[in-house]
Amino acid sequence: MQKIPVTILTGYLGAGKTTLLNRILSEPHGRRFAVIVNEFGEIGIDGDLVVGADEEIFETNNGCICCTVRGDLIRIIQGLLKRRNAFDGILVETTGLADPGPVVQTFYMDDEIALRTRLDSVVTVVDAKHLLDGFAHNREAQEQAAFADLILVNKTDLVDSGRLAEVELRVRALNPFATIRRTERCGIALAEVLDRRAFDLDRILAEDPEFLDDHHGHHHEHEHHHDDDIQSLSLTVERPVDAERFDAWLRGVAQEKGPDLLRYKGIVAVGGGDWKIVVQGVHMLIDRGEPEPWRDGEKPWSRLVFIGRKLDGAALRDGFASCAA
Amino acid sequence: MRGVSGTPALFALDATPAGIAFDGKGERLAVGLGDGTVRIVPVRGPARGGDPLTVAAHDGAVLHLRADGDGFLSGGDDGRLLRVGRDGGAETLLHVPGRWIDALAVNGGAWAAATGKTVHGLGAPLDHPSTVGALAFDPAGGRLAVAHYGGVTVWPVGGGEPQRLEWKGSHIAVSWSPDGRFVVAAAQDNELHAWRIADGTAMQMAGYGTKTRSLSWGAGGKYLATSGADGVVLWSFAGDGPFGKPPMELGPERKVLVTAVACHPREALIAYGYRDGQVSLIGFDDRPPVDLLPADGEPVAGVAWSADGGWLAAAGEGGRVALWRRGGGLMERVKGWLRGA
Repeated sequence: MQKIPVTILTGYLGAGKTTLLNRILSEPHGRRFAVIVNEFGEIGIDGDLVVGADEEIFETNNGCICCTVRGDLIRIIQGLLKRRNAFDGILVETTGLADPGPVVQTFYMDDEIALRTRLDSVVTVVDAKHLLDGFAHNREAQEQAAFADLILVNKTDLVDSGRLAEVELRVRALNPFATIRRTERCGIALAEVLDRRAFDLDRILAEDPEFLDDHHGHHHEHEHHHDDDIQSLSLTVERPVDAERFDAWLRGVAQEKGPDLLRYKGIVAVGGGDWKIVVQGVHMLIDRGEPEPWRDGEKPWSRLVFIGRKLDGAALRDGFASCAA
Repeated sequence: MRGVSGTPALFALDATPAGIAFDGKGERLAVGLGDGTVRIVPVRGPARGGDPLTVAAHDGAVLHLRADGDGFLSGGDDGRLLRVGRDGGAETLLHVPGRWIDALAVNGGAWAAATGKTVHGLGAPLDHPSTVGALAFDPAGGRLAVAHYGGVTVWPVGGGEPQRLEWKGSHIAVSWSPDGRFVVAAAQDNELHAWRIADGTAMQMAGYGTKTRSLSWGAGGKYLATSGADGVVLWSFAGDGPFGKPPMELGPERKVLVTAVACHPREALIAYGYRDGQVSLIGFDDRPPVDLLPADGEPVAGVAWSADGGWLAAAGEGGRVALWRRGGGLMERVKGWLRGA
């Protein structure tokens, strides 16, 4: 069964996500989308198949306190799948105040939806002019940037280059693995927005050399704090880890700190350094690939990036280091 | 096995079935589809062999289809609830613009339909704390069970205070035992809950591999067959109900999840479909199942018996519909119905 790709569009109020949505819908790409919107009717949407959603967050009953899902999305997507010949992809526009966590988890926690759809990426639009203020006052603005695979720093025409650089640094500090693009009126090639396969483990391995090589140019552990509620932590062990110990440790971290962990990704060297495995996670949900050989020129290091709240840098660093083989 | 022919009439529809049902007399089979049409096939009686009808019912998709006397009720994502008559004529019973018909129940000419948190059809609209996942009238028609987040609300049809049956979680399917003593609801969390109406006692029925979407009572209401596991999970409701008794697992050997079940109206027989498209038939015992239709990779969306048990139909998400007559051979193919025919 062919899985339908789903792109989540998020962004704080007024950042421009509806502009991006309309851009995706109106360009001549030949694709048909089903669009799930909140704030229905606020601004006209040009698509054919547009469904309004009432945000209904459900706790699941499996003892995992942060495993919340969007009941409204489950119901709407089940309904849309009855017209599955009528569209090629699904776009989910969240409210400006939405927590992306339950939206993302819906695509993992619901077995029927996981069977028929594939979460492609989370795209977050931020407003270059108001981002610093937004981060200071709104937990949701930070969460949306923290969850993103692609961040559009929009309205670049409204700020000077110094301010823009500051905004980008701040976004990068919060989310070390997102792709960041500067836009005016969300002007970006759609090829950069769609088909990112950001949750596909193979894609993380194949397309993220920056992530592996540490694009900050200094390749040791670093934390980013600022005054933000959310922070990121990049850990590197310059040697292979013991796969079993690493799995057990990461599961323990997810179990214990899951509610505070928003997203995490890692590529670790195992099997004495000949093999690598890729992991990614959202809260308590961990997705781990099978071992594969390193490619030529890659450094067989073990690297892990956490984005979350109240990250205990020392404990995580020590825990990861203790997995070293 | 027991008279169901191994060779069905097969139809390939070019849309995804949302519901399949025989009318009350078993003269017509209807399939509600994701393209908004209801297709009606004359099966027997005076119209047998006549052309199938394609009723352009909804501007959007059919979401729910139920038999209603000699016709059908169809709820769509255009917010309309329609009665589709045997001649294909459609009458609008409810229209809530901008909403979907999220749930539908029918009983002896009465209907109830939900849009969002609101249930229509019982006098003034009834509101609930969260979106309604499913509806079911009790067999006598005096009460309506409304499944939602946090449990089930049971409304007296004639008005009055509801009974609240509570269990944490989102409830997506609901059914009454034929004797009206139990309400069973399926939850998002891959489990069922049963409540004894007399005293509200609740019981958890867990162990499923996915959500249970299909519930069917067999053997005069003594057993409840359920989808959502490898094979059919059959709970005994004889005596005090399933409290403290493990279920029977029928035909789990294939290791493929079952997506739809239908108990024969009189005999100890269950027709069921798998996530990979296979349709099989099994008794309430240890004998191996009989395979009626091979897998085609598309989950079985619905299985239905005619009220007299003489006909069986199954629909797959890919649009494959199969129809068997008990005791008969291949039903003649209906011309113009087969894609590409």
